[in-house]
Amino acid sequence: MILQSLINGITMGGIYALIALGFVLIYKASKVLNFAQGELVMAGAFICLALFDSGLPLWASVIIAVILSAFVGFIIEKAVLKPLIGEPILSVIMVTLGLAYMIRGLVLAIWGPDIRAFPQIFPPGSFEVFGVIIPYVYLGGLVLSLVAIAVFILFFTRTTIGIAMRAVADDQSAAMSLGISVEKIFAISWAISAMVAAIGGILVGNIYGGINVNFAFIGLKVFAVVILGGLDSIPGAIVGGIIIGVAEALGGTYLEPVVGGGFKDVFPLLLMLVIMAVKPYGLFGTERIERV
Amino acid sequence: MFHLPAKPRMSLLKVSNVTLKFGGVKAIDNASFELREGEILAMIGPNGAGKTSLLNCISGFYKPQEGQIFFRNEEITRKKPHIIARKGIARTFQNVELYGGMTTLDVIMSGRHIHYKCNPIFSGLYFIKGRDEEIKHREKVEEIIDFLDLQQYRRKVVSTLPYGIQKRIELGRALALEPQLLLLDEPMGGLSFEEKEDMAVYVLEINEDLGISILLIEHDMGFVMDISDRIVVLDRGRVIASGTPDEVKDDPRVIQAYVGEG
Repeated sequence: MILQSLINGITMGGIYALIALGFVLIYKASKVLNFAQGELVMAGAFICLALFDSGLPLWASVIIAVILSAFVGFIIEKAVLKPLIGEPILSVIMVTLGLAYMIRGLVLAIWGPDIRAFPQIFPPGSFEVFGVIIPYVYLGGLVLSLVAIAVFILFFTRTTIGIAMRAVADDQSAAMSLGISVEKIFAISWAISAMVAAIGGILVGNIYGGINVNFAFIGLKVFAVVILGGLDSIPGAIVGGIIIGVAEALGGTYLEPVVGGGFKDVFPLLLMLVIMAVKPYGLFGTERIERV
Repeated sequence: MFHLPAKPRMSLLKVSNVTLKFGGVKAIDNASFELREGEILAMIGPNGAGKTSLLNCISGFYKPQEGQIFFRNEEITRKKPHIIARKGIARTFQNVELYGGMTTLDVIMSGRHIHYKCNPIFSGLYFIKGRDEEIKHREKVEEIIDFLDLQQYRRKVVSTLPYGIQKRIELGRALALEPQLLLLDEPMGGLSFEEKEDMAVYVLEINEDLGISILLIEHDMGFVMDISDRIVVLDRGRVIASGTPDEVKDDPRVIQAYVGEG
């Protein structure tokens, strides 16, 4: 029973970690808390569904949805956030909140409030290891999210653009003095963030089997992940994702029957609060020491 | 390393009647000077004279309200910092601005950004073309590491290294751009006597061996007098004197600016 919960939790945690990486990427680059990350997850899943419904094969729908999501992220940065450069950071954060409601409204207007069946990428059924039943959808979700995380980390540490992104995240003035366009990096950050959000949305859609507008509430869990791991930490996003995923699964299995319905969604947030009391900057976050 | 062919000393950088105001305060007041190819030009002056502000105007971080700045006869006055860097102007900062979490190798490698030709996706996927280019850039970085005697620190995270070494790494990152003009903001600041001597040697070698022109701000007069071809003196945003070290050190206006009225 506990092994079953752990496997389910690690799978969901891997996907949360992937989505959280997108959130951290934007925060590291521009210090903007993107409250629309959950909506980008939902939008990616709905774009994939729309493409599949239009008659495209599933593999093509997934690839095009991810590319289109990257384009959406790029456009959001250029059209909505670029004009706000130099404005107080709180204004920019409020704009991301407005953006979240706008995306949610668009999805409601186009697809309505009903739950829609999501096409299955992975074969139905499951297999058994040491008495633990592992559905193929969970195994596939875990493998794909881990591969995506690995690609993300390789991109961030090995490529020119990746190193430029790290440079901008660390010190914008120094990055500009090296010929790095900070504006371009911001746009790429949003594109990649929307891209990983779409991958996460498609994987979660597969596990749930259906999606609707409330799917965006995954953003709350992702926010818990990044606060737990540390807003500016990539390892923190990964570890935080796994912790939240496992806490959610264990809470659902062991605590929900005792405490009552919905506790599995609350338990990770309670755990986050406990850890935050001990480590206010998150598990891996950069501590800020300021002279007052 | 990347040697530049010997050329007649043409004007490389020209600052013409530049005025920069913050609110009603003039940080730079109608400043003009010229830097020639292959030259080490020092900018000196008391604290608050506007030296760093002028450097920030040249590198695009500040936009002057009046005047013009030309680099190789092209106006760069209101261009963005990353565009100016791409044109061949690199800089270091008064307080070391390094990427704390990166290794020495990665920090200097970040200076190669403008020289990448390969599509970043190919580079990321490490295809043949991307790999070949990566190797080429890595070789340049290794040359810089050897040039600045940073071999033992190449895999170390820069935030863990002593301040003097960090200064050298920042210099290496600027050299990785292969600039024609290097702007150094107080390269001696915070260094020990031995480190200052080493830095003086590096600055001279960068100028003589690599053929890179240098504009530097410095408070250490001994260093300035020893290595500069010419000196520009700023006081309260105005250029009050310019010339060779010998001409400047005996100029009564310079003495007045530093010592004040008795």
